[in-house]
Amino acid sequence: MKTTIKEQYLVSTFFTFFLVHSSQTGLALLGFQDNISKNAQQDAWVSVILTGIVIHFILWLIYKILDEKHPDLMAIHHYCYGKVIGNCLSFFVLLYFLLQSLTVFWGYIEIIQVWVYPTLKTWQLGIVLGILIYYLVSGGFRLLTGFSFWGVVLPSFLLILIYFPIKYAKTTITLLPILNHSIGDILLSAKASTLLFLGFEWILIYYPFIKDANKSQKWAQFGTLYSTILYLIITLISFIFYNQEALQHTPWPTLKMVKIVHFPFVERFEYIFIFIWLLVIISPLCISIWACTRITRRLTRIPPKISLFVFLIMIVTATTSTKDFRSVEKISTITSEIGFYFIYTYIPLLFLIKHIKMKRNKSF
Amino acid sequence: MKNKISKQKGILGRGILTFLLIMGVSGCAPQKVIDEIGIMHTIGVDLVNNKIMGSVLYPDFTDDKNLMLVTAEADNLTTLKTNLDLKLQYPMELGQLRVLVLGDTLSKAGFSRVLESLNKDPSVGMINVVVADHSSRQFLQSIIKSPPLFLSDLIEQATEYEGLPDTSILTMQYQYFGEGIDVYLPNVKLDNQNKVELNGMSIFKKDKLKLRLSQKETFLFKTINEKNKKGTYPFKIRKNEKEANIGIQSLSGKHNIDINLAENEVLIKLNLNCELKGLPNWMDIRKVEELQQIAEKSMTNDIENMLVKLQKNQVDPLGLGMIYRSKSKIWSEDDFYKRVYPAFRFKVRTKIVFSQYGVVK
Repeated sequence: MKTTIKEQYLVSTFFTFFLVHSSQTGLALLGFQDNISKNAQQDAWVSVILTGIVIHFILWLIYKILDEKHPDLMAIHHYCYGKVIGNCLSFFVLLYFLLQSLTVFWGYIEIIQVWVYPTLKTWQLGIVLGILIYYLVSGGFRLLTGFSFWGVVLPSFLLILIYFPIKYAKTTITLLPILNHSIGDILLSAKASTLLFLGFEWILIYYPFIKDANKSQKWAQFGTLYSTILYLIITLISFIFYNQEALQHTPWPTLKMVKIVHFPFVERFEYIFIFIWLLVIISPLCISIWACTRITRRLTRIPPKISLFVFLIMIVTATTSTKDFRSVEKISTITSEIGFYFIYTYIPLLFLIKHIKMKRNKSF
Repeated sequence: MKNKISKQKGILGRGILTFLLIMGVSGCAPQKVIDEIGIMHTIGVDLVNNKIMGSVLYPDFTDDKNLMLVTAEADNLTTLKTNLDLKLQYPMELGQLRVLVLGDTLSKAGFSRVLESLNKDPSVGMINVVVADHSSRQFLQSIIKSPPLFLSDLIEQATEYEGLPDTSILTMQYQYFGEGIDVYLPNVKLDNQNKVELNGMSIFKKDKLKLRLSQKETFLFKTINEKNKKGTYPFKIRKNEKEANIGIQSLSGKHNIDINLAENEVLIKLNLNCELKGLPNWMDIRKVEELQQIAEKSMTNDIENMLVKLQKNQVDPLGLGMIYRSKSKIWSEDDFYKRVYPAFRFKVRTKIVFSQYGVVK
């Protein structure tokens, strides 16, 4: 089965940088420091670098898996497993992507409720966000690519804002001693920091929408590199601004660091920051939902507008179904766990299966 | 042509729709009118019969009077807000809280129950925390006639220029949760004319008040702890049976703290640029080296005494534990206080440069 996308729907090659980087930066950037430093403590920045390197490798594997003949995950699945099993597996991947979008959707609503409007009801926000997402995703992939520009520019503003925590930080000795944790601890922290980089695997779906896609690997790797650097800087700054014990008592360290920024005319800068962050999370959120509709379109004949509507209804309903604040944490743990095994086990496995199959086909 | 018109109509329609949506969305947000909320500026917390007694100063915009004081009792901080609201015609908001005054009863019993709930409230911003030498209610009553932000401005000013340590709820969290450093906060007290005065600082062990330092000691502590070294240091000189007390004004400087693990020695280097003012006539300004030596010696002595005082009281506001931790592979807070900290010997090297000396020779 061939899938060629019309020229007018394609995006330029270098946009892969924006797509990959903005898929990786999202909600996790607001509060990841306490999770990753649970095991390796002040050495957790080593884990971030380590994860970054591994992600570069996985990205390389993905580019090895995808080729002209099989430009997306569904085509690969068909080729490797046949029609029935392949479609089943694609469906599971769809569920995983849906779970990812649910996590972001839910997490953002939670942040708004905790930080800004404690009395606002979940369904009100859910519906407003849902309409917004419907509008954006129905605009097509090119529009989402445009949006991913903000997903790169706005997190970069954090690099300017770190002036404030640095001004308040008294000492850098909280980063010392370097590497006094065991390799096991560092690896556990690396596992926790995998969540930060999740999102780049959507390239398995939007690969055919990139012009000269086989040349886009360079940009994708740059995107990941930039994410790694950004995360590394934020991690180091938070380790200086907080100490390890205080960090464990802070659920959203980045937001709390932004909180200390204040101007005579804005007392609570984090209000502005949280709402600007909507532009940052909107692109990974929309791309993941778009990926779901794309998979549906490739598996069935359901038009994207209908499947999009159904997915959004599902997400909004799931979000409003429980009021327990732990459920967000639970679902994000489950998602990162699935994501961890998806990129570290399933993608290498797919790579192996495809190559074995290719070799066999050649020898016949 | 027709096509063009319908396109224009489409744009217009979309514009109107966007406008309506923006109006709708912004109108939906829960809003609070400034005249209908009570804005807390200063809150004082005491402990009375194991209950938290909160006193709040808030500006009343409808009245000519500047500030109003309201007091309520509760078992915890959350119910305290409710109990305060029950006494007012409008709800209290924490968003503009500037100063938290800990009463002596609370600081002796431990501030953790107040800090931990304040820490969790997202509307709480940068707060200065000060320790009163008796009940905070009495203290707040004495500043009721002053301008609304008097106390926070006073603290800011004194921190910037007069050698008060730079503290806030952020440093408090950092020191309270972090291991190897203890919480320190500035003191406030009432002088004999019932006026507010900032005076030295209090040092806490975990969350309980352990030691109070005088203003002079506090300034010395600040010089070896912070970048901002502005403040005055008084010392005595004696020469040819004449005696004088001189104040030198510190302008800027650098400090460095290092721990020699092998010899259990804490080495503190301090360089200060000072301004010399009010020199008595019998001292020759050209013999400034002599004066320098006296000042350096006096300061070194005072810093060492202050450090020994901290050591004897088993408190470590300087964060020597953190430095020790950054140098050793194994860290245990108990072990540090029991075994390591008492064994420290302090070596202070002070260097004072008089870069200015006033306008009269």
